[in-house]
Amino acid sequence: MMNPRTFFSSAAVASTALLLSATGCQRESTSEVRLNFDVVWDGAPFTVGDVALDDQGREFQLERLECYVSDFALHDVEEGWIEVDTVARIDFSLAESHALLSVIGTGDRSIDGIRMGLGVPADRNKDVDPASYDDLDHPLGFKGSAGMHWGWAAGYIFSVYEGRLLADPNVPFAYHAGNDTCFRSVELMWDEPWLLECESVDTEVELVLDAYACLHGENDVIDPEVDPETHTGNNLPLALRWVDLYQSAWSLKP
Amino acid sequence: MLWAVALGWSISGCDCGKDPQVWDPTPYELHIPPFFPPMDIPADNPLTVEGVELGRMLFWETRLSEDQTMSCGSCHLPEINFADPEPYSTGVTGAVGTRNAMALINLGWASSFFWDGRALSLEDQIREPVPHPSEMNLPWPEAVARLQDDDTDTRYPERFFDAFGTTEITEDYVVMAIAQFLRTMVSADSKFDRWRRGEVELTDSEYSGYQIFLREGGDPEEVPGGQFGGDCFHCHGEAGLQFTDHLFHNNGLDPSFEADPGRALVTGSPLDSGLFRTPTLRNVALSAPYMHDGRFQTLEEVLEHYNSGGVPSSTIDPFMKYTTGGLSLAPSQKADLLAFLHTLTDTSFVQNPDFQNPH
Repeated sequence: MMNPRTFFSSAAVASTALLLSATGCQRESTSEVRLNFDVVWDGAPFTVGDVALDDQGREFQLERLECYVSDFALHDVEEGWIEVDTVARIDFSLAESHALLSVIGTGDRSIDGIRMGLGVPADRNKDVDPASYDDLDHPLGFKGSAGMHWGWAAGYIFSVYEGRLLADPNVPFAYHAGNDTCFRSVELMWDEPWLLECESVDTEVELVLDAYACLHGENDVIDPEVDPETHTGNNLPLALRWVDLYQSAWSLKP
Repeated sequence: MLWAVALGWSISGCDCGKDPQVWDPTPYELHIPPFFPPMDIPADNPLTVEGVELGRMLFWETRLSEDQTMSCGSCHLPEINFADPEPYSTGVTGAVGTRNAMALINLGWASSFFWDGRALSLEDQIREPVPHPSEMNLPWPEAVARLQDDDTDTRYPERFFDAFGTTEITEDYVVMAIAQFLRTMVSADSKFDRWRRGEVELTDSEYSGYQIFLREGGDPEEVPGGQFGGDCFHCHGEAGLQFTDHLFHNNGLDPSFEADPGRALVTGSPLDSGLFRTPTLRNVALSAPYMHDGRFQTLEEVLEHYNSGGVPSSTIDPFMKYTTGGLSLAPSQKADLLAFLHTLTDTSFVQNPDFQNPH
């Protein structure tokens, strides 16, 4: 027969363990969601550098597709939008390009939507010197922003879409949208909510950008032969047309 | 017995207060100029006073060439912004290189090296010229042996100990020392730097040239978005005050690239054919000739190249969008742009005694 002292001691240990396992997610904890990015051309698989056909049947070569994304939020079915502060630079030519969301809270979450800023909010670009970041690899720092014309003189560009029509001679184009006027957000909802478990670190979500739709929309089409270039400051109307199409070109991977 | 020991000590000259084999390098305090970003210094090659000085010795060491007549400084001349006044450099064997020697300035902020970016670290870049048959043509084992067997006043084994804690010289340590030296070669005292710091004023012409530098090119009546500018900032942006984006572009020099495919030699991608790394414009007025093959002797020729629009090709950069007409800058605008480029000249850098030949 078990010694009473041993029995109660064992029971206490067992009870404590049971209590801890039942209430482990009641403490504030962090879950991670990795956002992967893919690009398609009019819904079909596509890789930056490929040649595709535009709406006029012209050979279209997209050579550079990069953007800043930030100002994230996940939609919790019960709690509403949960904001997540992070900035990422996405290069669609690099398979490993991603954003990592650290979601702080208690308990599991039922997620059915995501909101993403296409660019960087004003407080992160207005007069902010990329050289001031001590973290050399920060996406908005000197090294991290190379090629994004990130700075007061160059224009704080949020998205870069460059390539050429393969005519003879070829017709290069470059659409650089930036500055606060071009900041947009996109909200995407899943048909069914999914469970984000507390303290999970292996959740992945895939966002898709249709590069064709960036120039071809229901109400507007940008023709590189007519409108080949904007760096925003020099051609704001074209930059605004581009970001409006760009905003509508995002979707969730089924 | 005690007197014998004392006699022995006195004869040996024992400095009994110190262990002569203790390695105690002195950290090098690198000053990061205002508006410059932090420098990415490899954790396995921190800057030390001893390492930097050793690196300078090695940079100017002619024994690192086959016939002991050339050093790095033979093709990277201080007065030419540590570049070569010839379009192509000539090596010890008389062989001529295939690209213009790049200026050695502010390399601590570069993310790739050589015109095609094939080296991703300064250390990797330094490894190439010594054994290269068109340059110093000395295999590394022999270069190391010469330094190891040094019986001159240079005392290389001792210097390597002071820098790296060992008298056993290796290729890696030679490369690391030179890299340390190159990282200290910082230019930040041009007229433009002093203007940014509020110490001087730019002339009207220089300031006008700066505005041209920052504006898009073309006549807005003919080219959507044109601003009558020079469109220089797209590639030679002033982020971190480096005047280069450290990326690769085809700037309309040639219609095809059989002679030199540029970046495509590294990536294998046809999209990179004819692309070359954007050089810094710091001290550009000192570092003629220009372009990867040194084809332009003067800045005026460079401006005229861009002003005319360059030559169309399959990979021409979208920023060279005026190949059918050029920028059409007026003579006064070109003069102003030249005046601005001259404000990027920092003579204190090329004359810095810390960078000159110590031998």
